[in-house]
Amino acid sequence: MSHGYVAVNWNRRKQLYDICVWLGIVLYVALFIGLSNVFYAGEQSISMPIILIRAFSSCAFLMLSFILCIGPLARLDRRFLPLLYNRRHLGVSLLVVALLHAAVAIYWYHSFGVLNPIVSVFTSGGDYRSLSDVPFQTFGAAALLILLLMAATSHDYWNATLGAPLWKAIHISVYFAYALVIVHILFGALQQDNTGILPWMAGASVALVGGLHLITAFAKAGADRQIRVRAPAHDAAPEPCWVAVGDWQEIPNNRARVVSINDAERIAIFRYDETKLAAVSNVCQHQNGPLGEGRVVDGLITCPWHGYQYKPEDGCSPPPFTEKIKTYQLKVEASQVLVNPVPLPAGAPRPIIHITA
Amino acid sequence: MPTNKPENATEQEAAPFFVGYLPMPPQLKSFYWRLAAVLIVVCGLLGYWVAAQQKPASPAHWNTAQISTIQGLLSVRPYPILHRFNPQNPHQVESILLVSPGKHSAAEWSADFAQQMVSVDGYEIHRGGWTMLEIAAQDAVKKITEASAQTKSQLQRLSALPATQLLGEISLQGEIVDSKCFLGVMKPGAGKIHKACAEVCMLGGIPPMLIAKDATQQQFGYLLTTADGGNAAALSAKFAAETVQISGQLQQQGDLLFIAMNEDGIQRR
Repeated sequence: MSHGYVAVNWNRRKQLYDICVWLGIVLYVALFIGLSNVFYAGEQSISMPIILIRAFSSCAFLMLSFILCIGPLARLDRRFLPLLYNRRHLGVSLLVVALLHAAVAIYWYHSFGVLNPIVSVFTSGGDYRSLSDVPFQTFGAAALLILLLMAATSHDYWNATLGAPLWKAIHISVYFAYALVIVHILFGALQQDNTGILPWMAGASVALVGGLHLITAFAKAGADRQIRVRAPAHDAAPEPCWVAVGDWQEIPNNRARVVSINDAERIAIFRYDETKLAAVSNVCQHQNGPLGEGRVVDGLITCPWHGYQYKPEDGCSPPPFTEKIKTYQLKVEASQVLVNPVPLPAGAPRPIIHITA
Repeated sequence: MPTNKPENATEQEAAPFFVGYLPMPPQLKSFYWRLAAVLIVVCGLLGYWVAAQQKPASPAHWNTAQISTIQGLLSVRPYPILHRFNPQNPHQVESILLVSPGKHSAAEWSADFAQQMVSVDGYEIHRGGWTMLEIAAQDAVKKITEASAQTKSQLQRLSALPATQLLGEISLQGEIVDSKCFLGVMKPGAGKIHKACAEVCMLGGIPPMLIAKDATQQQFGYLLTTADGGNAAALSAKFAAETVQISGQLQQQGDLLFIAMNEDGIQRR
């Protein structure tokens, strides 16, 4: 949470995560390089810089594909949420591998000549009007810039400074970077040779990433229909407009029911201590995570993405943290929960519903 | 307080909930140890599999481990070439292209030695019947001043050979490559990925080559020159790695084949 910033806010969980990530990267790259030298030795050997370029590029591509699968996987199966928890470190690791790919490619293909190597990347060869001759480097460089921007703003400081909506907008551009990488491959390595493993790798990645997102979209569209509640239009009259959203006993203890009244911002109605009810915005202030999919832990509403916490009674994070979310008024009539869809200001206290016999 | 919980409520309440800074629920802990093990094994298998699916490079060799010294008659137009009699077959002339380190022509380093017997130190590059020498350093080209009788004889015989033989008009389709990378400095040293490198090489004066294939897919290489027999590297650079049709005069110098391209003799295909 946002009380003071450190360069890398490691904990044991993140350290284990990062160790596993780098173990996987080192194992992949080391095996790729070692076996390439074993399989292709002597006169038909492949130049070492080209082996490095291929090792880093394929590793980065596989990592990017994996990163894009984490979101939908975590939505389909909550056991994958811990992968999401430290996804930023995975993204920064991806940038390091992608930068290594770019550095070796610039060193090998663009250096030692009469042109500045960086100038050569953007000016050498190709014609955008000819499909067979489109320069592929530009797309890779653009994707790298996006990854660089994402890594540079990945820290919680930037999250808080830019605000969650802008921060998310920047980081959702990873999909654009992925599209650029696919184009980079299509006009580069695939035009060089479309008979090897590369078409299969690229195709499998697109099918997996696209397929998982489609499956999740369909699955969540059904769930979204269930949380929609229709109510008469509210004319901002001084009297609250109470909307019935279901039986409070159907909400599991320490969990929430999420409702969207007339497609307005989602409201998470939490039940905790068995008989208490509190309604807050479903949107976490950290990265706009779905609070309603979280839990009440130690009496605090806890976001499932990164564990940001809010007090049920006023939507404020416990001191010394300073995040605040909007709260909503509730009442219960004959076990039916009624919510006033007009939010109170972020951090505003209101009575907690305590159901007694 | 009686409650009317839905059937799956207890199950939902019992489902493990992960908070990064709290101890991991035991069910998730065992799931993640297994998942981490599986993912690391998958990384290893992918590293093996992707590496194994590459294609071998064409047979070629760039001997960077050893400096060779080669003596011969140096010609500098259209490109620096060392002519000598083949050590294995003294009746056969062998022509060795000279290039400088990096992506640079050897023209500057050899300009002062035109039509002289020289000794050149460098790194040999071989592909098929082609030999190229990357000059080791600027002072690695030396005029042979105290020539032995054998050297003098070689100079006389090499000087007596016709400079260029005209073999007739030709029109061929193929890919333009830079000769240094193609002959073994980069493996692979052709194709779309190598295009930018080939362009930089040719802008630096590395001799351009047309690689054409016959009906049996056997490759033939032809050095390209301008219509008047000059350096065509800069002219060819923008066509690097593209399939082109080349028209011009087929010529032979030593054991090297050249195409002196007609005006507008390069057409994209």
